[in-house]
Amino acid sequence: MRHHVVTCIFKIYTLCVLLAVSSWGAHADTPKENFFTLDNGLSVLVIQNHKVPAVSHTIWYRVGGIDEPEGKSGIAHFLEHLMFKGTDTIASGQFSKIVTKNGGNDNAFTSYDYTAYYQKIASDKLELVMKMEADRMVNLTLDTRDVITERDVVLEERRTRIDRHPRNILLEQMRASLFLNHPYRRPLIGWENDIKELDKQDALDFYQKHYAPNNAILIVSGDVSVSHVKALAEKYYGVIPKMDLQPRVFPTEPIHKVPRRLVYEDDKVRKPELIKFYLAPSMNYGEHKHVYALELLSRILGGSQTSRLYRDLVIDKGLAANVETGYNGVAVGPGVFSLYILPSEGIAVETVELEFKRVVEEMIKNGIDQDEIRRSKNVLKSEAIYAKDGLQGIAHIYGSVLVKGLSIDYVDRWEENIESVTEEDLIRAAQHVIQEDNSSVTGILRSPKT
Amino acid sequence: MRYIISISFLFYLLASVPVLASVNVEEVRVSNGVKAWMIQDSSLPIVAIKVAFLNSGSAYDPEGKEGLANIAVHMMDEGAGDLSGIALKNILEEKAISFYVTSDEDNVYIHMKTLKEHLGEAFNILRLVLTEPNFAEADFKRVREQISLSIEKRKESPDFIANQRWNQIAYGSHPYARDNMGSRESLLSISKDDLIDYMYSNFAKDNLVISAVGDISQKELASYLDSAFDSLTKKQSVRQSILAELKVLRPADKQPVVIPFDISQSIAIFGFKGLKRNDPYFYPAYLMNHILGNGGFDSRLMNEVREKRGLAYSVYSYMATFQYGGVIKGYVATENHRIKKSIDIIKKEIKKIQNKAITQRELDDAKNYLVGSFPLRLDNNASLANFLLFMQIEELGMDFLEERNNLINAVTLKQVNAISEKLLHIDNMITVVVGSWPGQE
Repeated sequence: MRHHVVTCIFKIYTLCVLLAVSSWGAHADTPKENFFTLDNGLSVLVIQNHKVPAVSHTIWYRVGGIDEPEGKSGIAHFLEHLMFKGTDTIASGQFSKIVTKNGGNDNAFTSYDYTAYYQKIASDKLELVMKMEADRMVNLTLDTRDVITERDVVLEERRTRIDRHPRNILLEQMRASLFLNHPYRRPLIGWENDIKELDKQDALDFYQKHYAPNNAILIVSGDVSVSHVKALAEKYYGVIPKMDLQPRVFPTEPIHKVPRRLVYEDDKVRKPELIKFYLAPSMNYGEHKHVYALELLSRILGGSQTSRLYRDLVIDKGLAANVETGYNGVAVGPGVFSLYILPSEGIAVETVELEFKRVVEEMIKNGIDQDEIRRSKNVLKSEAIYAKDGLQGIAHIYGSVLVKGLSIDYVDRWEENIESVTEEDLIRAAQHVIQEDNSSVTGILRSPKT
Repeated sequence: MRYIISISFLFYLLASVPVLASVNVEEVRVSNGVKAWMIQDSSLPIVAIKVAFLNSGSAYDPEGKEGLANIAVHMMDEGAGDLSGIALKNILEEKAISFYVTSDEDNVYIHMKTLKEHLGEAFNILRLVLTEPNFAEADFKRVREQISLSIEKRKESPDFIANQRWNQIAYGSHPYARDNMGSRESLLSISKDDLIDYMYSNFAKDNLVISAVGDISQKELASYLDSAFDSLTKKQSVRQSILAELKVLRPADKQPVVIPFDISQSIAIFGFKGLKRNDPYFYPAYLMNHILGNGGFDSRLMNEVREKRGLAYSVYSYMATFQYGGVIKGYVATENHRIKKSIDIIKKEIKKIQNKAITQRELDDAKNYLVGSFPLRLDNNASLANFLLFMQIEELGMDFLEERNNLINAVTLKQVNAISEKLLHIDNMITVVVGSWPGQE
């Protein structure tokens, strides 16, 4: 419960790269009347889906790990936990219990760019959860003892997510090394020494600064009508006054001059792994014309078992047991292009690293087959179709796009934008992000005994 | 191991009460004896298909060839008919067909998702894979190496280590105790002929279960059943022995089994003998477990261990059921010097429940949740298809989607107390800790 957004994708075992992997959207023309803004600045999107008599109600705040003050890493996520405590009218710890007693599920997730809270529940209980969610937007009350106990929970969560997994320790260090200036360098859950010092006042300060209707997007999907949602939203969220918000401005990255290389040795590691991060553009950062090409490129290079790297390193040469690439281009700050390789038994990390570079060089030199491009486009587009099946799939895509300052058009036009990517675009994107490796971090995970 | 558990577990989470208004379960039968359960829903042009072959999972692997079922299912998309592995995967991508095969202790499962327009291609690939697998030498060697490496990589995970040891202690010599992936040595003793033999003796019409949900009519499904499964053999080979009933053993002593591991947070797996899915007391036990440790904030373990004391991020219990037995298992992860405290609190809570501490109010709340949340879990084609498959495997009846509510609501506090008293004897609790334990550094 109460988790971060992490993506796990491997066939035989799992790697969570702490990055969203693909930012696909869906071809759709969202009716204009389904997307509206209340007088206090709250944006509302209604997505109808009548398959089951249920709704998903999610509020997305434009605040996350990157908005944390220096020395307070983890406060965004800590506050997310504390939001489940209580308000003037809901006793501490009762929020989730009321939801479950009514046959619903609830949870929340914190990301670098946003924080979101949701409930899934029978359609006729929408009013109940909306009333409660609107209430805790402004009426949170915290008991000092609850805060201290919950801080212990978060420290345990950090041990569970990071400290227990050598790979995640390395990933955390790599992130801190990739970003020289941007707050993406901090771990989302917070550094342990920072978490230990967080207190009730830190949480309340952060809450009062960022939680407001004009800093949020409400998305309701399921068996509902637009007019019903609108009436309820006016009634419960509409009465909350808007707030003066500071613009979200973040430091940018200086020119990177040296590629970085981190080796993490841990007795628990049985077989070595290679991970690479490349600083990349995103829709909001750098040369965003490369974003669609990079989404496609991560498919073509290492997105599946038919990808170039998998075919070359795993199937043809047997040098690796697994290869994956990923890219996240829907972000408030810079994007990251990532590579993961698990070398075969007895194969050195350095060997697969060179092979990776060779495959990329060859692709840049010899070009990419049209068939290969078409197939990858197909896969990306079909994922978008399947995402429509289910209460939350498409709603979460819209939410995570809108909350990062992009328009509905990004989702609605996504398919045609992917379709228009050419071979030349792909090569240019590869040159721009991968060939120039000063802004990259290479991580090696291994046992000290090898 | 994690995945295997989640299959039975998932089904039980799903098995929690129907109020699906417009759902109509239909049976399609064709002349070759193959049948399927389906729900037609044309709201999106997509179809989810699930296929199971019963009693062909890892518990049936021959001695010395442990890991056979697992490697066989990993080989199934590595080429069939004229298609190499890559050619097959290229077609799947081109047509946007999702196709993968998994196995657990008991069964093998095929999961497919396709756009309506490619249904024919999807079933054609299914037919090829089932009847003309390639099992090319190079692919076989590679997959064997990949699994061998996975076997090693899994040992990095304290969760895996704890679970494996718990199973060994609880299941003793029963095949359920085995590692589904086998070992490097057992994998090396598996030949290509073993794979072929495995498939032909296990993938038959009499242990075949099928479900489909989405934009497909009965007539369409019937024609695909005819073409895709017709050439399967009639009966699963009698060489497949039936397993013995699972006897969950008692722990040797009251102290946990401790496996030292260099981590700051220890993890513990604890648990008891449980029930089979068809046990008359299944529903009372299901409610009992929900109240004890469903993982939400309305469970006792979450309240006592996390909310009140901040001892853990996740703490839960669940019921896992197999064809030949069942267990109730739990999990907690706490900083090393506090792990004993977590276990003590968990034990105390279990003792209370065994001693009739569950209140009528708690039971009513649990019922409300399980009844009300059911449609939330079936909001997409794949989940519904999984559920239809499960309904057939467990022989729950075609009206189960409507019946489920009543079965939950009929459970009385007296029944819950009776089954708690029977299952939750604290002296029977097997506990494995990976990390450290006071006095055992």
